[in-house]
Amino acid sequence: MNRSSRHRLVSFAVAFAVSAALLTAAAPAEIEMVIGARTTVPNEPVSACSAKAKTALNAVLQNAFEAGDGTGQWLAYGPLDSSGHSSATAAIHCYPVDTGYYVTFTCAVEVPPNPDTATNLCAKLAAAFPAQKTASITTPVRGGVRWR
Amino acid sequence: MALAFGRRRRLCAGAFVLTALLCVSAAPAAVEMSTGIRYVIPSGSADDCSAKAKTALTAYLQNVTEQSTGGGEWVATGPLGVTGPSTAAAVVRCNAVGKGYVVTFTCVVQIPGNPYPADALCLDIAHNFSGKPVKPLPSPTPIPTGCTTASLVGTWTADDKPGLTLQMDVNGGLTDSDGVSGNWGLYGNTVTLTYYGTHTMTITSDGKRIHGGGYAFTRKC
Repeated sequence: MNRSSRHRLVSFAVAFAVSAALLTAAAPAEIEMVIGARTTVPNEPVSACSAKAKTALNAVLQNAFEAGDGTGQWLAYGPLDSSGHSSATAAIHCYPVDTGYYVTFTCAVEVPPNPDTATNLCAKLAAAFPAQKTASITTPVRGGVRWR
Repeated sequence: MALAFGRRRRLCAGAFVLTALLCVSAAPAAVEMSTGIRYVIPSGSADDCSAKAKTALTAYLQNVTEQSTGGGEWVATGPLGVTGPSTAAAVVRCNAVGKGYVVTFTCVVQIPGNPYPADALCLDIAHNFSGKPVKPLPSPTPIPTGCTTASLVGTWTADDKPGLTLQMDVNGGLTDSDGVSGNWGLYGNTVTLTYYGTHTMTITSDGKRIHGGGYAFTRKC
């Protein structure tokens, strides 16, 4: 291989590496938050709501916990990445109403890097909450159109 | 030997470029959620709750909207006064119970990237709602106004369309005067603008102009 060819090869390798790095550089992240489904469940104690909330959050996210004992407000985060950060989180609120309870879902993700939307996250949680009937449609709340 | 030296120099230059690119990439960020503050108001209408919720959210965030009219679920994004990608959001929910209502506060922020944590945001919104003293939240870092070849942060005006401006932020995002957003990148004096397609441009040595591909913008500085 002559010197000119070698030079072109090295130049190509560098250009390729730079292009790869540019393509993989992180785009600016944005918080996406949605108000998920809500419903009223009659004739069931709020403790049942809490149990279901914990189960649903652990099924979709992980390490669900109550924001203060007995508050009925449950919170969980998604898996941690290699730097110990999570890009997804959700809360389920249970309120006692008459002889039953009222439950709401709130979801938030950071996009990128989270692969799922907040709307999908809330849909998964609602599906994982037993006997849950969707009473409202989720609507994403975020910034303007992003061109990539 | 001269050849080996030349190759090492090129490899070194390549490594330097890659390192520089990695250094300017956004740091891994995370979402942080706060929930738990709940007020039980024994007497009061859902309309009162909604009015207070809207006022409290407006004090700290923007784009305050009710999820569905009369539903009592209020959401907003922010921080206040910042255009481009949201790094904070909050939900205030009013739920009528008996002769009063229950109101809850849920906040989420991006860390790093947002000037305050989710707990601080929720506490202030809740205190504003209830009329308690609030602790001022830190303001977002002001956008630099100077011109530099190290960054494109600032306000740029199209040379051929004075009404068209691009606001470029520290995170590599941009938003034009119509609210359309995109991204910017800077490698040496080469600018990559992702805005209605990808454009390769050049920044001038004084950091005041970018041009190329039929486009030209001048920075306010």
